[in-house]
Amino acid sequence: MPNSVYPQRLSLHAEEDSPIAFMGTLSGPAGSSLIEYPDGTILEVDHLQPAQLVQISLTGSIAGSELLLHLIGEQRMAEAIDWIELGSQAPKMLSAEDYFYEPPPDDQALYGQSADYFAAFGSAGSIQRGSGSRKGSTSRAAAEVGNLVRTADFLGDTRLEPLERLLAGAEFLVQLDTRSSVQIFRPFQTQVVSAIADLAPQVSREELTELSEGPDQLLQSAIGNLLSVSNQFRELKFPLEPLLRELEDLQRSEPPAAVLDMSVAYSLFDASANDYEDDHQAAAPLRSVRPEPALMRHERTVAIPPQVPEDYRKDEQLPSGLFRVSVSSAHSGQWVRALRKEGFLLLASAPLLPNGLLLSADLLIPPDLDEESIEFEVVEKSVLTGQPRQLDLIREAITAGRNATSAARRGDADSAAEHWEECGDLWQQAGDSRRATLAFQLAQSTFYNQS
Amino acid sequence: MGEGTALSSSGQAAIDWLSEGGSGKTSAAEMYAHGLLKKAGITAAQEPAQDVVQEVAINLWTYLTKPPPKELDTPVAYARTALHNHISKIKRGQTTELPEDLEQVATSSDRGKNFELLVRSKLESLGREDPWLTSAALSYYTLLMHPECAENLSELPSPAAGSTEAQARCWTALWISGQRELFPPRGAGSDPALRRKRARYIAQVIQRVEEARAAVAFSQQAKTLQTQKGAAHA
Repeated sequence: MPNSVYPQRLSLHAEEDSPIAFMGTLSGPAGSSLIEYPDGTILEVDHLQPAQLVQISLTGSIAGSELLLHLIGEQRMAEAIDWIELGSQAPKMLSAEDYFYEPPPDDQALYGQSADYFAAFGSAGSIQRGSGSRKGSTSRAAAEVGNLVRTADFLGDTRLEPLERLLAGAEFLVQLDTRSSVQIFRPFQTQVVSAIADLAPQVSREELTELSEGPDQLLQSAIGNLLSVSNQFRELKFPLEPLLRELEDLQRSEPPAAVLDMSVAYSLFDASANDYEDDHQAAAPLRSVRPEPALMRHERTVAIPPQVPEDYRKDEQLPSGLFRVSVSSAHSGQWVRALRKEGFLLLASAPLLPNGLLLSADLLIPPDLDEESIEFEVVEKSVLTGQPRQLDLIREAITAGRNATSAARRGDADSAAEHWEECGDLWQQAGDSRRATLAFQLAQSTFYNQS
Repeated sequence: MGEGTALSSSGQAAIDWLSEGGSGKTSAAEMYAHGLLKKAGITAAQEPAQDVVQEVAINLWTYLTKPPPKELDTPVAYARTALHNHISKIKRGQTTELPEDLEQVATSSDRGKNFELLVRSKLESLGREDPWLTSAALSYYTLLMHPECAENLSELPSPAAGSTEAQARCWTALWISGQRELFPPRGAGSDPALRRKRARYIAQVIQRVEEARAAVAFSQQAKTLQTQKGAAHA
């Protein structure tokens, strides 16, 4: 048996005032998944290829860390302690254990991109050495540990729907119970059980319907995991029972094809669960359903000439207090902005939308300003769009990569390919051609794999 | 937002460490963030490092000025950890957390006209993407600062009774910004997918306004401190 979960070459960084870090490979286009232990130890893996270690970081002394010992082995831990005691600020390359590394089968098979991936981010080539007598067991441990880190990451990701998070939690507990290599995550068991109990009442019928209409394998696996944890943990029996009953009912009654709405199907996995308005589902009717939408009431305040000259323009204040700028349809796609004449401060902006033969934009201006002090300008949309920050592009690229990974995991190749394309575009804009290239390759291979 | 709650001296030390530098100098905080980003394989990390430090400074200031006052044992170490955690979130594609209590956004309309204008200016400078968000954030802010505007807009789409004032303002703001598809057609209710989408847009608008307000409040306080320090040296 190998000595550790991660026997590959690792670089040790022990700079002053920073956590001690054991660095593996760079994260790929979907960023990282990580789990943090109560003592501050963080285990970070690649989100797309969770068998790949990105880094282990620790605060304080590493000497007594059982977890680190399990992850990197005794010999390299001793090497690390010696190096840290020397007080050097330079990174130290720790030797690899003598073993043969086999990339884990799951995600590699899914994308068929392992060679490209390793060339860009990993180091499989450099660590494929040794007799091969230990083939498989180490990579399996890394894959199992990595998968659980990613599963825990899903559970904690508030951008996901409650059901998706809850199923991740159930998967975590089932794996914890069945795989010996992941016992390092036992300290999180109570926390995960409690998170599932909290999430269960938040799951909507729509999410369950969507799950029941998805691939059979996904549904069976979800029911199996929910049953398993419901039986194993008494505190989950009561919260999970209604969900299981509902899923069983839904399985029995297949909805007619005409009712199926794909937008509902996709929305299950939409990001963000922050729904500020879910609680009014059965409340009084919305004002918006009244037959007369608000702004249309003012249509007649603009006299529409029979033929609108291209340079037609009218600025007026509506009884509602809104300012309306109306122009001819030659300005399609443009916007109106209201500037305070003093200092040209942007007060409001709005798109020009069809209003009979005209295009109109309605703007809400602070009421303490005179009309004379405001200037309305019709401008191209691009004038109102600035250069995105590199940091925002990076965040968006990683989010797109995570969405692609989730779509691939649930077998939705179309959506995965779309997200990889988006991810590639964003990495390119952010100036990271390596991650962009890989994302585009993943988009292509996902596309070809499905066709 | 924590207006009126003074920063503890240790809290101020953490903020000072994050805010030092500027005028072409690279601060220790920026160098630290730069190093962490480089380790994550984010090359050409100088510009993101500055942005990360700025985001952390504003978040930390917002947290530290919320009551009760907080003392930090090791201010610089605390700020370093905040930077480290923030970069961990970036590596997972996460943005800054939403405000804990959305209604807090609505409580402080008494900061004066200058503050209001600065927030508008900040909202404009933050608008780097599709202009709907800036448009909606500006309208939202107008409704927040001038609630009387809403009186005549009662016929615009608005959420059902029981929703918060912030939600109601967002409905109006999103409608004005042209996001008409977020509202159900005449006579129809919102389906769950539409509700979820609308909720995400609402969250973005509120977060953007909160971000601008926090940034302006933070820079105002920093200026006040600089003036006080200057006066003390004179």
